[in-house]
Amino acid sequence: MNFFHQVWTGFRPYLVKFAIDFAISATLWLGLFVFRRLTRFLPVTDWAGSFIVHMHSAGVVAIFGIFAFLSANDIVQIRRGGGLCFA
Amino acid sequence: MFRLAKVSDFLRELSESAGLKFGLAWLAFCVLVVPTALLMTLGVPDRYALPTMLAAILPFLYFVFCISRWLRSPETHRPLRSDDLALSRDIQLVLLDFLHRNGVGRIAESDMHRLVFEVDRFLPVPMNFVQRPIRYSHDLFQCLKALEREGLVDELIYVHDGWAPRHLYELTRVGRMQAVEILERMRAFKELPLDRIFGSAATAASQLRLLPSTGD
Repeated sequence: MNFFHQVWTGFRPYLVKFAIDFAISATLWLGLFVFRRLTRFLPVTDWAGSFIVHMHSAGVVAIFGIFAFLSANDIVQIRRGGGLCFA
Repeated sequence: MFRLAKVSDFLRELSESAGLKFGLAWLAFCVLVVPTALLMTLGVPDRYALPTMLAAILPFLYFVFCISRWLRSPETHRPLRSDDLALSRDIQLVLLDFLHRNGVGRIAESDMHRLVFEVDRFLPVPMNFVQRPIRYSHDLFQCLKALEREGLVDELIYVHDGWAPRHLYELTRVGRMQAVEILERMRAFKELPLDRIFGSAATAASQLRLLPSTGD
């Protein structure tokens, strides 16, 4: 087994999980993006406008937090040998 | 009765089920972001509101997981009884023996779950923890672990080409002897349609490519 194959086989379970977590986070980003587009078409001002701005900023942080948590959990589970096997 | 799930079960199921991940992530996003934004709008500084929201993610996901697990299965409104586990244990031993006699020595945990799920409908007392053919069930895993502790099955950890380890189970000699005894007792129990149970198990095993299909 050559060096690159060893690296690839060792990294593959993490990559699969990472890709799933990234896809989930991407859907959240997409949702936030659609919401932002919507608020452009339907401008909201005053208190509600401030609320929406804060929703965007809190949403971005929440997505990062969720992604970090899911990824960290996957890494721990794979290292513990509890990861799902696709073989 | 509502019971909190083990944190380790929660983390393991969350890691293994992409659907659960997706659902919980979206729920956490929708439920946590709105009150945080509300707090920020009301004047709570970001440096307090955002860390609070981040800290609430894990407890929130865990709590929702416990509730969803409780609501998902009406049968889990009552705790798993020892009868259920005993029947599951016996059925698993008999199924492992059936596969062994058909040349399948080792079976993966996920395949075992599928087989138990398939035969569940023929049992006079359904095994309440078998809800659907998911790849992992904590209760089934516990049953298999109990069989291993009794020395009736051997657990083998199989690592396939860099994937996460896979748990395989193999009936021991003692396990086979006990499976034969259990099968004899089951034959005397008329309410148990063994032919249909084995037929269903064979079909499921064929679909899982453990056994050649009946058409071959």
